[in-house]
Amino acid sequence: MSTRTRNHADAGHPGAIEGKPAGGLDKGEAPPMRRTRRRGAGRGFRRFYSVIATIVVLLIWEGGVRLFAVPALILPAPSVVFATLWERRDLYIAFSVPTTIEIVIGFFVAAVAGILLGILVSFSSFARSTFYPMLISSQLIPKVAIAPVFVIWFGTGLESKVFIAFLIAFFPIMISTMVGLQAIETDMVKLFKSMGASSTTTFIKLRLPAALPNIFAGMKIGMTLAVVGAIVAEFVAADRGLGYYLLYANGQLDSPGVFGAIMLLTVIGVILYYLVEWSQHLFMPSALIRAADLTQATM
Amino acid sequence: MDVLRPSPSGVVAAEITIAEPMVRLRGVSKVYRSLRRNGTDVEALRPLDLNIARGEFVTIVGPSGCGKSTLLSLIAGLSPYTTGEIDIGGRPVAGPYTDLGIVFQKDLLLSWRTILDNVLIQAEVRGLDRRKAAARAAELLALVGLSGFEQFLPHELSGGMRQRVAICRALLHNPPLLLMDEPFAALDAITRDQLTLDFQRFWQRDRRTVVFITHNLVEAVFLGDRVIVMTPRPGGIAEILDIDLARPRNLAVRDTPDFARYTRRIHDLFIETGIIKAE
Ligand SMILES: Nc1ncnc2c1ncn2[C@@H]1O[C@H](COP(=O)(O)OP(=O)(O)O)[C@@H](O)[C@H]1O
Ligand SMILES: [Mg+2]
Repeated sequence: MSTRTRNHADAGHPGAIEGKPAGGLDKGEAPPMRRTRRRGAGRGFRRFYSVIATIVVLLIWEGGVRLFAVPALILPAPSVVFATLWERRDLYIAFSVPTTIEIVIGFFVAAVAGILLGILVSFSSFARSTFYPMLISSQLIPKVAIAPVFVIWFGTGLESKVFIAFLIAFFPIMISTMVGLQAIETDMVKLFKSMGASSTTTFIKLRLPAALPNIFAGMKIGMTLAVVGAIVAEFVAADRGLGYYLLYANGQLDSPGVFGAIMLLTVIGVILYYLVEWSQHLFMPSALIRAADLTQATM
Repeated sequence: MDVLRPSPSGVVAAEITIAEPMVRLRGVSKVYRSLRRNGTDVEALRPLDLNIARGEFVTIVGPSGCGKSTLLSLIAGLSPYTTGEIDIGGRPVAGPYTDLGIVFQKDLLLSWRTILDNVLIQAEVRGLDRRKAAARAAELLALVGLSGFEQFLPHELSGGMRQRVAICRALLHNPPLLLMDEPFAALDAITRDQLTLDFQRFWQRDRRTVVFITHNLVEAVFLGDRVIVMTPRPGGIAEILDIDLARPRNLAVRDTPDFARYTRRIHDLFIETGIIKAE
């Protein structure tokens, strides 16, 4: 067990499926019905659909506002919102930066802590009986309601926002990690035991890679919640950021300003969400993710 | 690691058979203790004796729930036995016995690994040389008719093909003993016939010791040198039949009177032990 050869798809990192293994393989036999990668036109086209749908929604919005002469205070037309975004671009950019940083750091800490604690609780019955009930009950405390307390503890700077974003994003990541690690057939574990696998080997080569789809599902939820956490934190106490600006513009009855901030937040949230989704491809074979997409229809 | 080397003749294997018992069970029984406070314990196996000779193809047949999988787990050292002793090749089994291959009813392929890497997991876990293992894996996959599928993912293969991959994985390290727990039970009848035929041919190349569990008595008689007929739970051995049919056996052998005599006997045993209620 000491001289273990590492291979290209090792350490629970089942990436390189295209890599040819060493050794005299594929010596001339024609591979059966070899398909080229099914990236193809079909999928690219479907991506395009969502862009079209977004444009259609914006057009209906624009048309509706104009048709019924809705006052800008109640619902500004998208054209007005875009104009506002453009006019105040320096301010919006300046305020996007701290919010994005809060979300990203909060999410990152939540992902690391959620995955590690999920692993710990899965494998240590001590952790499961001591600390897990505490974690569960901590989730029943309305975090939004006690956000002001965190401001008292951590100040009005970056730390309190990151902390709240982390706190909200953390739980689904931990739970989905636990679910993923436990959803392994007993015969699978038996098979590994009969190969002489240690529990570390079983973890690295079986449990962790098997849990990855669940972990990523949890991280996607976590990312959307981190956005909520950062905004709520900025509502409570802040002197910058899109959440702060949203509240400020609302106080000024500046609806185009409010909608500008919302639109920007949506774009940031969507980009970050897709970054998480895209990062799956670093850890799982793309063909497998695509096959799962076809059955589960993630967007 | 040795490359698969078929023994030159079956005669030699037959002589070794008598000399060396490979797996020996003495008074082995298994009781599953209930985890609930007032739950009743389950007596899965009552004390049984069994010798399995080196190079022998033993099939174990019985209804579901009679303790077949339990028996296999005990032999593999994956579950502790309540009484008795088990040794393989003269060594007592205590804890997972690793010098064997196992095939389960489900193929248990890792969905994120290619077919080749699924076979090679055996080498990775055992720390075998990857180059040699990859060459042998390719050879095994070719033998089961899967060359060219090395870089496919499991979901791209049919159930029968996936089970072939599972067999290759179980044999990668060339183990002297192969345990199979209803390996073809999840397949459709046509695929099952094909795999049964192919597996017989495959086995005749090197005649390693096989313990093959099934609830299908035709499959049991077709494949086995000996058929161990189990009683209902708590499982014991009702009878052991020596199957005296020439190999390689083809599917037509199932329609011969000799074959029918064996299946008739097993059927009668099932009636005697109350597994099947007499008409
Ligand atoms: N892990 C277990 N814990 C408790 N009871 C079990 C366990 N595994 C099997 N049994 C019981 O032992 C009996 C035999 O099971 P099994 O060996 O799986 O039968 P078979 O493989 O012949 O269908 C059954 O009654 C089953 O409920
Ligand atoms: Mg069973």
